[in-house]
Amino acid sequence: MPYTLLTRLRHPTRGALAACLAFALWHQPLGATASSGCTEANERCVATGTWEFQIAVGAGVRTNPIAAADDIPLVLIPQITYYGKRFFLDNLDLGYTLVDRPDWMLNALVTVGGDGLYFFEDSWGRFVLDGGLGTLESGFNKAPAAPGEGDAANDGDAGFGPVEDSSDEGPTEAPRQSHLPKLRERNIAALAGVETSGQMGRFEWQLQALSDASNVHDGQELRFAVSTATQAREHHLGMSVGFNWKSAEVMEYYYGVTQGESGTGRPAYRPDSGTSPFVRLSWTRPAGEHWRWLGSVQYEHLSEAIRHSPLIDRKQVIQIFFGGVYHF
Amino acid sequence: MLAGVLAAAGCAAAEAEMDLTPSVCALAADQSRCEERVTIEWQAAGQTQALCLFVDRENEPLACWEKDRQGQYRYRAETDESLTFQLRRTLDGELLASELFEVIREYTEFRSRRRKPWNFF
Repeated sequence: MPYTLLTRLRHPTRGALAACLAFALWHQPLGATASSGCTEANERCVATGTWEFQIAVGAGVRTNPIAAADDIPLVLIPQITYYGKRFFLDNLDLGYTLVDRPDWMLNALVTVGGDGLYFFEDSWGRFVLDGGLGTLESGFNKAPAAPGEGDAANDGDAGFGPVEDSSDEGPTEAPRQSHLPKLRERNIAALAGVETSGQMGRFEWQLQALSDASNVHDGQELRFAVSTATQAREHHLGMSVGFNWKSAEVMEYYYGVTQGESGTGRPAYRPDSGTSPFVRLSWTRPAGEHWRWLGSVQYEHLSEAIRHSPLIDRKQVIQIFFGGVYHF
Repeated sequence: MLAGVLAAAGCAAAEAEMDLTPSVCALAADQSRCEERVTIEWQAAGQTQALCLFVDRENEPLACWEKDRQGQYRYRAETDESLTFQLRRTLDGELLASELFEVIREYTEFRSRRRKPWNFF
């Protein structure tokens, strides 16, 4: 069946994107004066044309759910942000603000999907990408080294064939040290969509509806998070909860195992869509003109579709970091 | 009539040239008024003629010259708007040159930061 634009828009996520964009264009035509209510630079507002640089230096770790892959040390995490009148750059996120209100914002957004980082091997690239993705994405490292992997590469065209369904309960068998076929390439996808966020009393929320714009997996993601914070003298405590929903296409591409990749201890696997919730606690305190202390703990419970993948050997991703943040 | 139109459009400047130093005054966000010393230099082409320097719509000239081919005048600008300096022939008031001293405001625009409940920082 031809994959037409109409077909693509029938997907609920794409429909939501189109609806949001249409609403934004109707609500605030491009070029209209922004009514953000901002008259000075503060926690909520920033001067346009401003670059901001921060780097976190400390000790931390992010567990890696990929079987046989190492945990990821967190030592240096950079952040580069630029705000134009409407355009913004936030590490690897490129956006264009369609609506800017004191308690509500709507942005068109291009970003990268985090799952491809599990299979990304370039160290410097991972360093940059890690900062770009903040803490929502799970840890990443080289795909399971699978010592028993054969040399012959199999691409993903082999199909899934008889598969282990994601709804099956019970523990997943970890890969054995046998001659397993090499895993096909799993690339990083560029995602495009809309992002909306707002303020409700002491709570701040954000929702992203994204779709693959790079033809990598043709899937969709929905990301939602809400956070709140409290101040006790110099101590700033924050808590965030949220979830990340990924469509079956995303899951199949990254966590599925095709017939060509399957072998003893690595059965073929075709996951369904899944939702991974997370919770994060953070603490920060000023430590000078340019420095502040930062500590954070995050727990992400991987979706059933990911947990049951033969490539995964953990149910969660835990991240802990303590260190200092330098503001340039 | 054509000459009048050209003169009104500032096209008669071929008979004289005028330079302003500086020609722009940039106001910071907390400034409402420009206070600047402007040096006006002019040079006439062709025969010497009596001419006067005017600023904006002031009826009285800032200065006049009787038989000079060039001249200089220092003007103390205290204004919140751009000013137009004009060099006119004394005899008939014909416009010989016109230059703009531009007052611009460097104001900062602000916008909302992006909310990122899951940001690492």
